[in-house]
Amino acid sequence: MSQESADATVTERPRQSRAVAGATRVWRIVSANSLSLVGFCIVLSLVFVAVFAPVLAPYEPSAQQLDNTLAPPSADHPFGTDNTGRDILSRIIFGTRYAIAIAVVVVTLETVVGVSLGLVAGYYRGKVDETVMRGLDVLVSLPPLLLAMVIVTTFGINIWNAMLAIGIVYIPMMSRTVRSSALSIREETYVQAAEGLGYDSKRVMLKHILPNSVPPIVVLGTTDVAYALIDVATLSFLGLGIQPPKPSWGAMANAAREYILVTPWPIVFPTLAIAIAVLGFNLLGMGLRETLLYGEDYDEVVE
Amino acid sequence: MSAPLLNVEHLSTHFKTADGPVKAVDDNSFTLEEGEVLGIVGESGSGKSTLLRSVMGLIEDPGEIVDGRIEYRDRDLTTMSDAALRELRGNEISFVFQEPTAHLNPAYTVGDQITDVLAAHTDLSSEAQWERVYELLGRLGIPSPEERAESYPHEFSGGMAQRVCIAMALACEPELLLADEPTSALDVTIQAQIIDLLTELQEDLGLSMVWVTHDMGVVAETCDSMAVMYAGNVVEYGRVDAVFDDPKHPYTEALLRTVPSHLDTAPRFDTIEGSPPDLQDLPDGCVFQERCPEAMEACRTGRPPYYEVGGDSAWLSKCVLHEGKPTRPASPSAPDADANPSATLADSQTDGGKPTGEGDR
Amino acid sequence: MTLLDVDGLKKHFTVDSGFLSGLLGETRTLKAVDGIDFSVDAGEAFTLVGESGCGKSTAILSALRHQQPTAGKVRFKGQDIEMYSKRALRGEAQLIYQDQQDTLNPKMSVGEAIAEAIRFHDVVPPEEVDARVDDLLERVGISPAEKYQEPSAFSGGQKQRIAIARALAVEPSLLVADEPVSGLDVSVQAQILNRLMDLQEEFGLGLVYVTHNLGIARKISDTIGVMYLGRIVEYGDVDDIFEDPQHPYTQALLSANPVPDPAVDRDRIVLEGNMPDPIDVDDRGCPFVPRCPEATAECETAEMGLKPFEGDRGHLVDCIHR
Repeated sequence: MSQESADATVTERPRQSRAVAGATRVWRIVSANSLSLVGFCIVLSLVFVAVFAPVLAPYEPSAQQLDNTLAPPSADHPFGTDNTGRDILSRIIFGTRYAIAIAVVVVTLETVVGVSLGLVAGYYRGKVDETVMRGLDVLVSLPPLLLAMVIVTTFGINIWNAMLAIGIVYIPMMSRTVRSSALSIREETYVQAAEGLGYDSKRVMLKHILPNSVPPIVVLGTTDVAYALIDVATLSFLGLGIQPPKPSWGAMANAAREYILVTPWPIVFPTLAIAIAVLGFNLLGMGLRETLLYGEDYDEVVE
Repeated sequence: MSAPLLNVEHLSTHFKTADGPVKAVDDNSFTLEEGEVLGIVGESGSGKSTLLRSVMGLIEDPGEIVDGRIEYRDRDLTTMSDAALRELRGNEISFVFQEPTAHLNPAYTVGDQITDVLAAHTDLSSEAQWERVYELLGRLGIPSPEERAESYPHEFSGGMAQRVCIAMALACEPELLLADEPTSALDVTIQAQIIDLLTELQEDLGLSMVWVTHDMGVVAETCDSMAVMYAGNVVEYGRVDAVFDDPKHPYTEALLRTVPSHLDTAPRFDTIEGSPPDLQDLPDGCVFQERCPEAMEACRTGRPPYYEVGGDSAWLSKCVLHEGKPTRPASPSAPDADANPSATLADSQTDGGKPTGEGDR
Repeated sequence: MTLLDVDGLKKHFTVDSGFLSGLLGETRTLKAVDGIDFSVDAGEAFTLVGESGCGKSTAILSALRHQQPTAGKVRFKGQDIEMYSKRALRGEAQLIYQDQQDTLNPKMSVGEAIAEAIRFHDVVPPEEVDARVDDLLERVGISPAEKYQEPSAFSGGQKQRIAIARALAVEPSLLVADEPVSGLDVSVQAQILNRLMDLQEEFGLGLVYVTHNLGIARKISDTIGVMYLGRIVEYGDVDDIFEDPQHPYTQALLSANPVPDPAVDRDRIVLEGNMPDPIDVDDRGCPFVPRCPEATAECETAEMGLKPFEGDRGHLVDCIHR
């Protein structure tokens, strides 16, 4: 890739203005639709909370106050405390970091693997396509959560395996999306022209087909984060994901389950946090879908 | 000469957009005599199709006829009700389009589609309708019409499909046939067949025709009079022989030079430098000024009116080179124009005066 | 020097003729290109003229190995074209496409598109790429200041100029243009074609041009081949053919083309019917028989092939009556 980055300096604008242009472009696309704008604000807040968690949290997330367990919301503890007297607000704030980690790991995994497989299948077609897609069909034939549980129990119950399992489960959908996009872009005149200039297949795939498949990838990736949050929370709730005492939202809900008849707060707030985060990514995904895939003014927005 | 069949006066059709109106058709006048063929010729984006669609009453939102009159047999089509227009369309006035197969419904046989038109506008019995279908298809040179009437559009080649479309357009014996690039999608040898057919039908049936095309060759071979469009303006209107022989607008002259003819042996193509103006941002004054070799100061203020270069309204040019010649009078529908102020109408009345009621920016 | 020498080129496609005939082992063959010969010298412009479906685009695509031909020998600079690597061949022979709207990658600035071609084929040292891009853009009449723009910022005519600049960027010896200006307005066409002719002369390029537009063919070509149903029916100097066409199809084609001059009164030959699909064309006899005004019984079985007209080796006609 070093050749590519060296390439870029020759005929591209200077770096700094490119960064500004990139940010402006992202902002234009996101703000083109009120759904994506609201979703983007929620997601941005989550990132902010995750980064500044130590500053924002009133207590240490693991500090126990055994004399003040299962307390209802109060001025000292706005969301109350859990069964060992830990501050729920602080734990939810730190839990944001897990949510963001899930988003990053799952999306990176499904994108890197899914996009590569989809590009190769769509570009080469024929036997390569058959082989890749039938392989992925095997993955799809199992219920996703069951597959994730099998992967986690086989490779060991921990946070990394949970995230990897969910990422693997999402690969087929991404591959199919990219493949169908690559199949149609492959027929475009500009790809024919790239072949006509003698370019090798790697260059044609990465520089001519991939950049034009970005919209569906972005949309799918964003919506998948929402599903991933739910799935990882579900795994954690089942005890197969992030393990207590780590302050993940799913694990917190799981731990609070036993005390639900005593007090609802320890289960309500983590669930709410999951719901808001899922809503944020979902809104962003829906808005981007409108703008990037169906938007009449996509070109206007982007230009 | 009796009153013309079609008389278009100062017609303007604009498309509303967030950034101001797109002046697709801007202050155009021309007439069509009964039994004649008028060619509307121009490059893509010149507004020739919009002009034709305006005459058809087929302008849809955000487009709107903002000014002018379209007189057909002394009736103004612009003020006519939708129902009355529908009664005219397909009956007295009918259309032929560029892409024949796209304008036929793939789900019905061509016979069904032609009888549909007949059912809508005539009270012929079913048998009589089918008789007419066979007669029409036969007349249009489609072999074994009884059999072919049962065929679906996709079973026809482009040239044959265009014959079917023409048959459909002629089903109700129209007075006026409006054709939008009817041969442009066809190959040269097929185009020749359709041109011959249309010319023959026009003469036999005494049809009047408006033929929109980008091809000067087609105009030369088929039309009696012609209207040359540029950037939404009919810049010149006149008899085909006269205009080709001695064009009275610099754009017409340039366009005639540019058309590549296979009989022309010059080593290079003649060109018009530059490109047409943005219809949303037309210059003050003549629309052709930026590319015109003759452009002068007078061209930059006020849209030129129609000058009667031939001494009568049969030869008009929107070029100040002909200043001093009489201008074509504005349409008598003054109250209408007041209610709907337009820069272009004002221009033509005051001969270069600054527009007063304009608010497009 | 002969750049491209095409000998007996054929491109046939197998047509899927339905389930039952598939079972019975019946296949039908579409003979898009059915044995054509032509050659192009350096600095020469050769045009393939014909109506849609005559096989003219397929002919050049298979001659230059964008498609695999069914049969025939193609030599490039005297060497079998099979001997060239893809990269080397594309560096020598560049194609300009018909579809101006989509010929450039919408996600790549036009400057980068040209630079990519220069770098990939190592045309100039890396530090000179930028200057070369500017120079090429200027030559086709695009301001180098606009090179950072993506293709959507340009009109169809401008995109085609940029595509021409990119084709020239690899410094090819042969340029192949497939209806590069169809769909553009005449005034824009004229500008691009003049530019193309200037550049062709300046660089001494061979040019293969494909078009159905006879007006363009007349000006741009030195020699032309008139194609009908997958074959070249008349071949020779452009002025010879346009002024004195010999093959009945060429005669009809030229006479059917509208002339933009009402004062010219011509007797047009209007052919009956359509050009048939090139499926299962009989190898024997002349494929133009069904539409030919001069066809005789002899034409249906005669041995066909281009033959010199009145002994002129520069003017070849495929008609037994000449």
